[in-house]
This record gives sequence, structure tokens and C-alpha cells, in this order.
Amino acid sequence: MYHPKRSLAIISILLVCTMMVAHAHGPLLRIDKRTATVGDVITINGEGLSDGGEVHLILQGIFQDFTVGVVSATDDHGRFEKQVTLSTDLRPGEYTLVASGTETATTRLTIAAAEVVVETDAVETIRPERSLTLGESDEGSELVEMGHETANAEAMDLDRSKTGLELGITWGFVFLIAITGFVFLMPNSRPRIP
Amino acid sequence: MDLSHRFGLKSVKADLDYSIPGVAQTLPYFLGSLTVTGLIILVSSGFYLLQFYDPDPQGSHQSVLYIISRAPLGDFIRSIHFWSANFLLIVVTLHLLWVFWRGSYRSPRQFVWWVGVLMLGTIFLLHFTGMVLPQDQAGYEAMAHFVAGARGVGPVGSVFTQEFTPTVEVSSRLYGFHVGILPVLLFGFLGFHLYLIRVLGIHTHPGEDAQSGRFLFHIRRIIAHGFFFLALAGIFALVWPAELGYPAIEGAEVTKPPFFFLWIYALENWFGIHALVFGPPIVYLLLFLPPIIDRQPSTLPRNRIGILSLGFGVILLLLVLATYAWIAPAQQHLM
Repeated sequence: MYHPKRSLAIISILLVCTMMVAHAHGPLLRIDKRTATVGDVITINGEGLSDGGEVHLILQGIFQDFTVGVVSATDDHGRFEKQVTLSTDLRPGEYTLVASGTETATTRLTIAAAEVVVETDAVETIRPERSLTLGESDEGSELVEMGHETANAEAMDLDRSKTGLELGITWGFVFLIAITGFVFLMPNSRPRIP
Repeated sequence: MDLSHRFGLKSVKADLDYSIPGVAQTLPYFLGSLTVTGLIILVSSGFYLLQFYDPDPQGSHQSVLYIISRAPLGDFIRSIHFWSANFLLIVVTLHLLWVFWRGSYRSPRQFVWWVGVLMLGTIFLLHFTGMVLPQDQAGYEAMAHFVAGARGVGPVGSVFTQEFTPTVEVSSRLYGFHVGILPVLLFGFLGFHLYLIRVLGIHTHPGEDAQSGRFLFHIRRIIAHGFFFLALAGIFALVWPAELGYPAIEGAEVTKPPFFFLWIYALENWFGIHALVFGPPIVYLLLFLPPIIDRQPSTLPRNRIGILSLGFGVILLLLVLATYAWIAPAQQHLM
């Protein structure tokens, strides 16, 4: 049986709950720029990360983490604002700003390469020139000088070391997969196939 | 809850329980199913990688660095993707050679062969487009050669040049091909290939037992071999993680292609970049010919010495070319 009053009551409760959930949002973290270059000043705003305590700001890059600093919240909502000059040590690329207090929030920041500009009648951006000479490096890898840049045929020397947990998971995965293969090969074991 | 009833699993089981030749239980007959396994692993690992990969050429190399150094298990999964792709090329080539040796392309199975050749071409294109994605020096040079070859083809090839559209970089469009167009084509061909094999049955030579195997039992071995394929890719991924070259420098030519493409590099050493326009298409079109030119009544290898000599002569030639290119110093072809 249809009960219009009951339906209206349920919808009203749902609406109120939705509004309450929307109002009691989680922590917020914002940077005034999506993309910046080294030397730029960025403004970081946060809210709800700490109840008046400290918030640690770390910029996570592909290779390294950079400590931006520690800020203290200025009000009961845990709001803070910090201006930071991007260090010239930062390499261009994608970064994640992590703010950790009693809560944690993240946001992305792209650090673009600063353009090198020469002053001529018409201002232009320097581009790599065409290839010049083919040579051999001390390490034996083939190199081609491209103006100030160098093309290298070798693979990058990356740190591929794994944590104990990663090694355990990966080798364990391989071991389990191989064992499962043998189980399917054994004539007397009959894994159920639909 | 009876799921087998709801999903019709009993009828699927009944449909799969059909006779196959006893000879199909031997290792060479698993090369085709290993190819399918390899594709499943590549799609699964590729799905993970595309969550982190940036198709914008300005950010692609950095995103691959991120996958290697930061993404959870990213280095392992990327290396599994890399090794599975390489194993797949080996397995699919051996599968083709086995079918060629057995003469299984003969009537009424011409279309099984031809669709298989289309799949082979698609797999090589997938391998090539995947090589381009990191935008390291090797990837960039592979793309530059491809674009130069496409220009040589004329209006048809112009689709793959930068002039075709100013809005999207060529490498980003090749990414679209790698994750979208080519997999759809490949799985379309694969479905047709499997359908034809189901309808026409597995080819046997006279005197070979054609009925003693059951496909339902065969599936268990297919699954087992699939797990071994994945385990082997996993071991290679852990012992020899997939490498990444330095960010590409435009205009430079210092790398050589992977082994399966080296024979093309040898042709470029002799004939310049124009070799890209005629070399790969000629060799690829040759693959379509066996069902047309091999008209012997018997499919037994001893009765098909002519076509087998021709086929393995071409393979030997490609191996010689690849070896020459491997030994010869890197050359510039685009200048």
C-alpha cells in the first residue's frame, strides 16, 4: 500500500542526512596553481587536517621527497595558509603534495621546466638542434651531442631495489602461480572446471 | 543459489566436452593457447599500467619512471608486461612455423591461416606501439622511423604523420592504437580464428588418431601452461626488470630496434629509410601465400619439400639480416 506521508518522511530524512554528510566534509588541501616552475611562489591552503595542532607538508616526487615545512592551524577548523618558494633543486615533473596532521590529504602539482629565452628582435625559445657528431663515451655507450644535450643509447641506471615486503609478495606470487600450474597438470587432482 | 543453472554452465560444459586428436595433447599444439594466455596477461597488466601512464609526450617518460619507482608493484607489473610481450612474439612465431610445417593452412583451413596472419601483424603492431610509449631514446627513434616510413607510403601513410592533425602528437595517437584500436582488432580476429578452429577441427595427418582426446581435459592443460607462462614472465621480471632508456633527444639516432625488428634495420642500412616502405610489407604479404601456392594433395612435410624450403629459406634470410644488423654499428637513416 502506498503511504505518501511515510514516503515524504523518508525522503526528508535522506535529504537531511545527505546535507549533514555534505557539510561534514573531510580535510581539504589546495594549491593556488596547478602548474608552476622552480622559483615560483605557491600558496598552500588546508582545512580540517589538525585540531589546532601541526600539519607536516611534504612534496613527493618520482625520485625524492622534499619537506616543505610544518604549519600550525590557525582556528578550530584547522585552517592554515602557507606560501612556499619552489626550490631550484626540484626537477620538472609531477609531484604530490601530502599534508599530514591528525588527518591526511593530498593534491597534485606539476613543476614545469623553466623556458630558456634569448633576447633577439623576436623572442624565441631555445630548441635542441639537429644532431652534430657520433662519438663514444668513456663507458662505451654511444652518444650523440645535440647542442648542449646528449642522446644516450644505454638504459638508465635506476635503483630497482625492492623492500622485503615487495620481494615477498612478488616471489610469493610467482611461486603460487607455478604451483597452481602443476596442480592443473596433475592427473589425480581435479580442480573444478565449469 | 544454483549459479550453474542461472548462467547455463552445464550446457557450456557439455559444449566443451568434444573429441580432439590425441596429438593435440603434445606441446607444439599448446603454442596457440599460450598466445591467448599471453594476451590475457598483457591486457591485465596493461590495464594496471594505463592507470599511471601519461600519453602526453611531455610527461610519458616521467610517468614510466613513476611506474618503476613509485607505483605499488609498478616495476614488477611493467616487467611482466614487457616479458610477456616478448614471450608472446616467440610463441606466436613458433605457432606459425608449426602450422606451416604441418601444412595445416591447406583447404578448408585457408581462412584460419589468413586470420592468424592478420593477428600476427596486429601483435607486431602492438609490440611496436608499446615500444614507443616510454618516449625514451629507443622508443622515440622507433617512432621517427615509423613516421618516416609512413611518409614514404604517400596519402595512406600520412595518417601517421604529425601534419595529419595539429591537435594530438603522433605518440599520443599511437597510444590510442596500443590500448584501443589494435586490441579490439586483435580480439576480433582471435574470436574468428577460434570459431573456425572449433568448426573445422584440428588438422591431422593420415594415420594420426583424430578422436582420442577430450577438449575438456585439454583445457586443464591449457590453463596449466598459461600459469607456467605467467610464472616464467614473473621470474624474468624479478631477475631482469624491464629497462628504460634516457629521455629522447629529437633528431638523434643511436639505438637499434629489438631482435624481431632488426632485419628491417639491416635493410635500412643498405637501402635507406625507403626500405621501410617495401621491406616489411613484402615479407608480410609473403605470409598470405602458402595456402595459394601450395597445391600438393598431401600435407605431409616430405611431400612439400618445395614450399618448406622456400619458407625456411626466407626465415634463414631474415635471421642472417638480423645478425648482420646486430653486429654492425648503429647508423643514421633519417638524416
